[in-house]
Amino acid sequence: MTEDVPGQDAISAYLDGELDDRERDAVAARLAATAEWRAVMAEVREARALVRALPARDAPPGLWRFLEGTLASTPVQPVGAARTSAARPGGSRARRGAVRTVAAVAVAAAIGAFVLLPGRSSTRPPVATFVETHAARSSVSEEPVSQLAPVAVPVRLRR
Amino acid sequence: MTPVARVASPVSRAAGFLVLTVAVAWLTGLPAAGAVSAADRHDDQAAVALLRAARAAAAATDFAGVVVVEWRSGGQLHRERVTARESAGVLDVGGRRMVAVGGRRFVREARGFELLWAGETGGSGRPLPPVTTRYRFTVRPGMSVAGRATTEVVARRVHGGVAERLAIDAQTGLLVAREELDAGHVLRSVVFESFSDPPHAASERARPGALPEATAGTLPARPITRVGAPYRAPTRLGRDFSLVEVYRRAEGIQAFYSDGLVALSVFERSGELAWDSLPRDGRLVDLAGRRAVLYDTPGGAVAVWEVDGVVYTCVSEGTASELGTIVAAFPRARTPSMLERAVRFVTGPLRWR
Repeated sequence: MTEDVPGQDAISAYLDGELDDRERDAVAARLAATAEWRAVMAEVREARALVRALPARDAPPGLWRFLEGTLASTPVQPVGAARTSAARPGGSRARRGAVRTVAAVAVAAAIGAFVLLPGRSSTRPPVATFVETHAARSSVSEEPVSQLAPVAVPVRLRR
Repeated sequence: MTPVARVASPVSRAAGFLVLTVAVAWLTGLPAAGAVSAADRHDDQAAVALLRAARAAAAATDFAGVVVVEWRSGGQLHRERVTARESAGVLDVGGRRMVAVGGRRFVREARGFELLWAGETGGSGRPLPPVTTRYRFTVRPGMSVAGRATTEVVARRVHGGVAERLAIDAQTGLLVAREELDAGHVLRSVVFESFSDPPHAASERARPGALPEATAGTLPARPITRVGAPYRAPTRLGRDFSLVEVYRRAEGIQAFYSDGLVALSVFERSGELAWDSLPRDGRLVDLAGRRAVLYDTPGGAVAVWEVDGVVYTCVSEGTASELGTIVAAFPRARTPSMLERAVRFVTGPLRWR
């Protein structure tokens, strides 16, 4: 009966072209036969489109330096030394703890930056308006006709 | 035969000295080094006075005419005509497309007039730099423009060729022609094709047309004295342009620069440049190591680029070749660290920078 449950992983792999011929045929058959599978595929496609439409986000100022500093301050031992320290009581445990701490900090910072901080907005500079604005400002301190006539011509930049 | 002594006359000695002086000056490049003769200084002073008078005349003289605007773009010279009329202190250019009243500047859009400039300048800014720092001038009788006698002012860069040719109406003192040149070719020009006599223009004083009113919601620029992060306004751009004033706009800032004759503005907005939103007439270039889009417009050369989340738009009345040194005065993109590059690779599908 599990075959009747729409498999998001299978559909995702199907959309990515990651299935072999037999698996692809099986998913295609399910999609052709079952409206529920087709609905799930539509959801997967929509989710992908939403993710791809996400604005680019900047890491918060200092994040990279903080992570690098954290990594740099974490004692990293060569493999041989690690084996030696592992022989010491608690050495391996301390190393694992440090790695876990760094990983936790990195994950928390990444999640915090991605989820909580505002993303960098997309900017569309109004080029034609800027040209007019510059001419307007320049015409105040310079001879006005030669400044304003060029921006009064019926010519527009193509969008 | 008695040998004849070859004795140089005083005239030939003077001629020889002159030839020697010219030769030494030519060889040592004294003229190019900016040696200013008394005649040059006289022309500089005369040119400065003429240009200043032309600005004043534009605000005080009634006139009406047709102006031919030419500009070079994509290797072609384009030409358009617009009307220009000054009446009762209102300058109307392009059939009320652009209107100047005092220090205010309006542009007419589909929904009405928008206030482009509210007249606020100079409160917190510096004076325009002296025009004679970068240019040497020649003043001489000019060609007839729109049937009127003119005085020609030629501005030559101290470190280069002719930058501008200007024609001043001998009767009114108005600027009736202005040509900007780049390497000997006209880059942009504004020339009166027809020009009415002031008495005729004055007869139109009775109907100057209604003064424009700005539509609601237009926010004029406000002069500021301090520029906060992430924006920047270097006090100099290249070796020629000095910062005059910075304005806070609804989004970002506008930094206004001048070399005394030519001005430029750098508009800065926070955010990531939406490259696909830019007008299609531009061309993608490398300017001082920055990826930029260039436009040649009637109003000047425009460069748009982005560095680390700030979008810059430079509008320059100068040449496009000067934009490289202007762009170079602004920050370069910082190099991402190895960790940052690694995380960007991993988070690439989410487009996290």
